[in-house]
This record gives sequence, C-alpha cells and structure tokens, in this order.
Amino acid sequence: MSEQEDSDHIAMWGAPGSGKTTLLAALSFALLQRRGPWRLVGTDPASIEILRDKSAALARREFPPATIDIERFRWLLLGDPVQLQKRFAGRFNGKARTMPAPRVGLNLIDPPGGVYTDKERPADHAKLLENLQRSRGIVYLFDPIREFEDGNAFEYLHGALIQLASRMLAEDAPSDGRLPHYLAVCITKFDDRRVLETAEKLNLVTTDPDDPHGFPAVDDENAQTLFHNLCDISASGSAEFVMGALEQYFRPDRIKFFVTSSIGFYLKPGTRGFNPRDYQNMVRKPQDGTNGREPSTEFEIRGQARPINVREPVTWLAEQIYADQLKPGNGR
Amino acid sequence: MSRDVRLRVEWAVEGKQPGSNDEYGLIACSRGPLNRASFAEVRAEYVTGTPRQLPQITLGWVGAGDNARLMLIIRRWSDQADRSGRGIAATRYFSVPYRQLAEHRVSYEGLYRALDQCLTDPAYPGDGELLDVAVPILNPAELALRVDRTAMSVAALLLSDQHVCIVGDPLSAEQRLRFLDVVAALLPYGLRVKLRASTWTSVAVNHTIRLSFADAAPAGARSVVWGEKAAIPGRFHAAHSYYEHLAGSAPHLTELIDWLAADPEQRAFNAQGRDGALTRLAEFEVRPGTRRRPIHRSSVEQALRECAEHLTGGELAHLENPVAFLREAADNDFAAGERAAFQEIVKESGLLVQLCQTDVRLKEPRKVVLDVAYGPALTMAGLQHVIGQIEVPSRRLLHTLYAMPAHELAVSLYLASRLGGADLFRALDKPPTPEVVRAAGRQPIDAQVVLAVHEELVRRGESRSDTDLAPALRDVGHLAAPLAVALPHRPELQQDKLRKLLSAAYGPALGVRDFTGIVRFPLKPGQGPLLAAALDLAGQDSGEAVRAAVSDYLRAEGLAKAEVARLEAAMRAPEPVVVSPESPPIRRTTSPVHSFGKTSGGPPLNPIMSLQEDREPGEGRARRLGGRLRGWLPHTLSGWTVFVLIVLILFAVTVALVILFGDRGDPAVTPPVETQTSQPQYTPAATFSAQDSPDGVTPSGKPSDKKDSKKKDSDSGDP
Repeated sequence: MSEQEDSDHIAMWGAPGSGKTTLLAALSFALLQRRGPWRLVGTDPASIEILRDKSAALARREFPPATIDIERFRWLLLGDPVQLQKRFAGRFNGKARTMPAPRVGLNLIDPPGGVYTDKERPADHAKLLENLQRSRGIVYLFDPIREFEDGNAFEYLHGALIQLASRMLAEDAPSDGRLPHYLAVCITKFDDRRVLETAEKLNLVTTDPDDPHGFPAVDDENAQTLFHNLCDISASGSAEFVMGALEQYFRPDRIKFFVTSSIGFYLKPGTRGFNPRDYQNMVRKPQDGTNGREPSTEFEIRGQARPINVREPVTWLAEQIYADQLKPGNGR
Repeated sequence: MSRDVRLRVEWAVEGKQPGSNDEYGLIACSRGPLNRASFAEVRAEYVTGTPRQLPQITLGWVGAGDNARLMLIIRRWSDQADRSGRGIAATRYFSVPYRQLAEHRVSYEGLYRALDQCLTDPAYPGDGELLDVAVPILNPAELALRVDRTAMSVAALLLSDQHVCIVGDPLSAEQRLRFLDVVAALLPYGLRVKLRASTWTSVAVNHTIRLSFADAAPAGARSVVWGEKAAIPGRFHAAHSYYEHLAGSAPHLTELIDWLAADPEQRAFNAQGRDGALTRLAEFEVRPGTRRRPIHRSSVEQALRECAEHLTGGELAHLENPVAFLREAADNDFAAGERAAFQEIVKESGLLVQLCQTDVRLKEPRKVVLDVAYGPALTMAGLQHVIGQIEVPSRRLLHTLYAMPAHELAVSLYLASRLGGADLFRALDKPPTPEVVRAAGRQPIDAQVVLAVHEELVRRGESRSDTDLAPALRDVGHLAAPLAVALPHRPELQQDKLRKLLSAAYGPALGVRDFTGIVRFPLKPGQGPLLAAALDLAGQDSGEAVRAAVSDYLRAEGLAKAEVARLEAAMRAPEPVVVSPESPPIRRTTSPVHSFGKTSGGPPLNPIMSLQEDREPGEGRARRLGGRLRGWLPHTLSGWTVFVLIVLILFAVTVALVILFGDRGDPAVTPPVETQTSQPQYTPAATFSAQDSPDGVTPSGKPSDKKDSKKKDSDSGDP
C-alpha cells in the first residue's frame, strides 16, 4: 500500500451543484495563508497542478468545470508543534520544540454530486461508498439556495448514508452504533443575500476584529442554529430530515458546523470595507443580445473571490484525525 | 485510394440540461443491443477525470466473445453552460461490434474521423437508429510511417501488466490519438478487445485506462517521457522479447503491421495473451516468403511532406517517423514518373534546402530523402534537378550526393570536381580512358569536369603509353568544343591545353596522318585553337599536313580523284617567282625552289610516293616536308603568314564547296549554329553556370567571391 493510500481520507459530500469543487478551488487560497497551527500543501505535482487549474478558474471569476468523475487530491497538513502543544495540552510531554512538524496526509475525494444516488451511475456509487468507508472525515456541503429551489439535499444524503452505515456498522459496529467519521457540515453560499439576511434575522452575524474588510461572519458555535433554520425553507420540506440523519449516524461530538462561502462577498474595487448595500458576488449573467439589460439563467462571479471559512473545516478535520493519532495505543 | 468498410454503430450521448445544476447523465442512446444501462456501465468503466482541455478521445472495448465491441468515446465542449455558467461537456459513445471487423480491420484514427462529426447535432437520430458509416480500412503503410522507438517500446511495455502514461508531450488530442493508433498497430489486432487508451487521463482519478497521456503518472503506472524509449523493467521478459522482435523487424514495418492486423483472434493482456502476441510477432520473422510489398507512392509523398512540415516547424525530433519510412521506401522499385513526382515535392516544399542546414541531425534525413527522390542511382538529370534547387551547393550536400551510386561517370566527376582532393583523385583514377574522355565531352559541358579530365588525360599520356587516348579523343573532337566552353574567349589558352593534350596522345611531333585525323575539314566554329595546336605540333610538316587534310576532305566530299589530284598539284605548284633586276637574288642555300615533284639536284618526286613517305612518322621527315613547303612559298612570307593564307584559302574553298554541295544533307556539314540551337537544354548557361560552388570555384570554372568561400566553412557537422 502506498504512502498516499495509507493517508487519511477526507471525502466531499453534497448534492450536485452544492459547491464541492468550488470549495476545493477556494481552498487553494488557503495554501497561501498561514493562519493557525496548520499549513496545507499538495504532496504531488499533479495534485497541485489540478488544484491550480481549478483556482485559476476562480481567479478568472469563473466557476471551475463541473466534476465529471470522482477525483482525489493528495494533500498534507503540516502542523506547527509549538502552536499545537497549546491546543493538545499534555500530549506532547513538553517535547514540542524538539519534535518534527506533525503531518496529516489527506486524500481529499471530490465526487460528482450525482453519484451520491445510485440511479444513473451505480458503479461510481459503489466506488464512492468504498471511498467513504475508508474516509475518516467528511466535508458535507449543505447548499441552502439549492435546497430552497430544489429541496434535494436529503435525497443525496440519506440513501448513501444508509448504505454506508450498513456496510460499516455490519463489519465493525462501534459501541454507540454510529459511524466513526468526523463530519464538518458546511453551510455554503453565505454570500447569497437570502442566507446572510437569515443569519442577520437570527442575530448570528458577527465581525472578526482581525478582518480588514469587516465582512460578516457567523461563529462556528452559531452555525448549527443557522443550519436548523435554513432547513426550514427547503422546497421539498425534507431538509429537516438531514439534521436528523446526521445526528442519527454520526456522533454529536464529531460533528461541527461551519458557515462558508467559496467566493465571499463582493468588494467594490478601490474600497476596503464591506458594503451592506452591495455585497452579492454571484450575479446573473446578462443575456446575449440584450445589451446587458436582460439577465440570463446563468451566473457569474462579479468580483474577486474572497473565500470565507473554507480552510477551517478541513483543518478542523485534520486536527481531529491528528488528535486520534496522538492517543495512546494508536500505532500510527 | 483507400477502401472503406461500412459499419453499423451503436451510440449514446452524455451531457446535462443547459442552465441547470443537474448532474451529468446519458441524454440519448441508440436502440441497439447496448441499452441505456449498458452505456451507464461503460461510462463508469471509462473514468478519465474532469478534463482540463477538450477534446478528449478514449478507446476501449465492452463485452467479450461474439459480443465484443470496440468503443470510441469522444468528449468535446458543447456550446452550452449550466446554471453556474460552467461549460457543459458533451460525451459521445460509439460502439462497433468486433465481428464487423472480421473481414477488414480499421484504425482508431479512421474510426474517429468517420464518427467525429456524428451526433454533434442535438437532434439525434430519430428512434435511436444505429449509425451507418463508412470507415477506411487500416493502412499499414501510413501507420508504419509514424512508428518510432517510443511507440515500439510502449507497445512492448503494454505487455508488462503495467499501465503506461505518456508525459511531457506537446501534442494535440488528434496527434495523441495517432500515436495510440500506432502503438495499437504494433500489437496483434485481437488485443484491441481488451485495450483501453485515452488521449488524456487525470492523475486525480482511479482509472483503468491501460495507455494514456497524462500530466503525471499515478502511483503504480509506468511513466514514459514523450519522444524517449520506454524503459522496460528486466523482469518483464515477454515485453523485452516483444520489443526486440519489433526493433528487429523495423525494416519491414509495413508488412509487420499488416501481419499483426491480420490476426483477429481475441486476446487479453494476461500471460496467455502475452504469449500469443509474442508468438504472432515471432511468426512474422520465420514466415516463409516474406517479401516486401510495394510501397504506395502516396505514402512516400506524404512522408516527404511530413518531413518538410516538421523542418519548417523546427521539429527535428519528429523527423524520425517519416525518415524511417522513407528509409524503408528507398529500396522500392519506383517508376521514373514516381521519382519525378517525389523530386517535385522535394523542390516545391523546399525540403532539400532545409535539409542542407548545418545541423548534424539532418545528415541521415538528407541521405534518405535523396535516395528516395533521386535514387537508386543519381542521374545527370537528377543531379541538375538538385543543383537547380540550391543556390550554393554545400560540401555536405555534395558529399551526400557523391555517396549515392552514380548513373554515369559524368555525375561522379561533376561532384568530385567540386569536392576536389582525394575524392577527385578516386573518381578519375579507376575509370578507363575512353570513359573519362566521354564524360568530359558529355552534354551539358561542365567546365570543372573538362579541366579536371584534361589534366588527368595529360597526366596519363605523359606517364604511360595510353593507346586508348588518341582514339578516344578523336571520338569527341579532341575535346576542342568542351575546352571552348570551359575557357570561353581565351583561344590561346585553349590552344595550349589542346597542344598538351595532342602531345600526350600522339607524341611531341604530329605526323601528317595524325594531323588529318585531328583536323577534319570543314572546320567548325571554335576549332581554330585545335587547328593551331595541331599545326604547332606538326611543325615543319604542317603545310603538307594541311594539304593532305584538304585533299582528304575534297575526296570525302565526292570530288573526282583526278580533280583532287589536280588541285593538290596546284597546291604543291610553286608560285612563279618573278625575279626583277631590282629584286635581291633568291637565296637557294637553305630552301631551293623546286618544280613540283622535284627536288633540287635529285630525281623527280612522285607525289603519291611523297605523301606515303611523308605519312611515315618521324621528325626528320616532317622537317623535310616542311622544308619543301617553305620552298614552295615565296621566301618573303613568314611561316605564320603562310599559315594564315592557307587557312584563308581553305575557308574560301570550304565556303565554295558548301554552296556547291550544301544540299546533300550530310550531317557532317550541318551548320554548327543549327546544332547548338537544336539542343538549347544542354547549354551551360541553362544548367550549371548560375550555381557557385562553395569551394571557391564556380561550376563554370571561375573563381567565386570570398563570400562563397566562407560559406563552405559551415560544414563542420558533416564529414
């Protein structure tokens, strides 16, 4: 088994168009950042190249091409021992300054959303389940806008979740009967007016004092509340079952909610601060032949992408996996 | 002209609803044995990744035995977008039952070209009808053109159980397809029912494509750098053997591909399949009666054009395939018309000009192209065609041409005279004298060849008794005309050269008999130096020699013997000498005046006896005859004045005879002007005079300027 295959897998889960690939593209920006104890790097040139392609599309204010096949990216989270010592107090036994940088290998799986059902592509669906079974973390993307319009989040979650549970729990059932995965639930498209207004109405919006642009944010502690409320606006009404399914199959202490946006808010060129009256970054394309007056059914990115909270779900998952590695008796 | 085979093709189309967030899925499908679910399985099997650029072409198979099918999958961008504005890729699946190919095999490229324009219209065939397309039958010669060591090694490596990724290529999707086609062609055709190949696979997906182009090879796959020979691990013995067999069969690639394509037995990439493939390949070598099949003219033309295109594009590395094919084709027995067509392609495409660049890598392509277009032996016409394309033939080109078998000595001498040194020595050393002489006199006259041959002939005459020299020279007018071309407007120099040549052939003193063999009336324009040289060598006997020559000519013209004798006597009769009282006494001490046929104080001289006697070689006799002639002339005239007078008289006689007998149509008296105008293509000006040699001497013999001399210094790449 190769080194990469031996690494811990983190799978992307979400309905078609929920923003899995766009979130991955936005993650490449995180590679350039150094906030927190973790640094994310690609482990092979091909993975970096593909990621660069996807992020280049975002830089051109285009969404990356829709995923056609299940893709896998091999990344590595490099930790800062000194900072991690504070976070994992007691587990380093005072050796933080002398030990090498902790590493967490991540095989990030990006499937087309459609394979989460077994209707069209049963073979791919089976492959996906295999991947999920080997994964230790899942980034689950909940797109409230799509849920509002199509209401199919549950459809793309429940079937696969039952199948995954039946596979895993039948083989090696944990004591509590839940899946062993860590689950980062990402409420996407926070940049959309309807999502932001919902958060504002719930008084969940804050501002990070370190954010030079003063963009709105929702603390992770409040993200679950927003998720609950957004589930209520599902077109099909099935979204409320999503929460139930997650709580039923995953351990509550292994679930964390994040409010994210891959493209972020619009910032008018030449201005520094968030404008509450003009912040939507995804707008409809003008229709061809209407001289820009009539909007089309397609969307485009209006300004520079400024991802919000896309790095944190991955690093959170990595930390949990890493913490498990530090546990006594874990041979890895 | 290639033949086609008609195929019934099942199909399916994958895409997504424009303007939606729907997932990709099958949106249409043919109504054949392969249904929607079958195509969904195919789709799952042929995972290649989200393409970075399209088109993408994937080759494969589905089913087994009687249900085995070859698959062709073409993915291109549609002009539609989804809700997020992302372009929608349309993927078309084509399935061809393998049994349809039992009679005639088709290439992947042929299949692609036949099907690429199908199903591009959203209005797919109504009611799911199968496509009915004509696909050209696999052409082994064209595929053989593109075989290189990368293709051979990759074909062998496919038998190693490893997936192969070609990396680092600059090719388009179609160029990649052509490479895949070549690799497949180097395997038994039946292996295609288990071969999956693609013009691109993503390293980010777990795929089952055995051979593909990729940005990088995934773990476990073998990476092959484009343009390089794939390294075959030592443990894969079958792959090693296969490669060695392929490499050993390189001179017969067309036949080899034909042989492999003729094997429709379905095989797999397992131990049994590998053994079967190896056996099939080995049988090609031991097959009795393996004969080369004629290579089609169009394939050679295509290869020549490919060479020109690659050179124009600066892609020297890509010359390997067409050059390998041309190397194989060079031995083919092409008709003259086919060679002429190749030569025209070489000329029109500027191929030869590009091949004459200094890059040492062009040495072999230059040789191969010349062999194909101007072989098997270089003719004078071929040489002229080559020279006509190159303003200044470089030494490397001359060397390449000189290395080719020459159709005649004149070709070798033309090239050797430019190369000089040892090459010229070798070219002149062996051939017999008559052949050398004929080469110098061959039209079109080449100044450098004439001068080189002259020098050699003089050397031969002086250093050894060459009995062939004189007869050979007589056949070509003693090279008077070629020397006139080589040394225009320099009659004194021509005379000097001719004198040396005659001396080498006949000895230092020319007898009357030899003289009449050299000087034949009527003289043609430009033969003055020959006459002068002959007279010079005849010395004192020149008068008698001229008289004899004139008599011969008159007899040859049909004049009666008596009349010739009378004229001869008239020529011999001394002009009456008027001795006036004022005149100084005639001095008879050295050359007394005799009456015709008499010598002073001796018996009367029988004219015939005299001539017979005079024709005996010997300096003394010649001198005696010259003394008599001088005795026959007034003493107040000098020798040269006598000569001029004689020449004038002879010309007058000649003109008179031409007027009198000019209607006889004898070719010997055909006016020289007509001779020249009837063969304009052989005039030096129209052939060689325009080209300067890099050796500092122009083909016309004139020194070239310094600029030309410097150009030859750039030949360091070639010997």
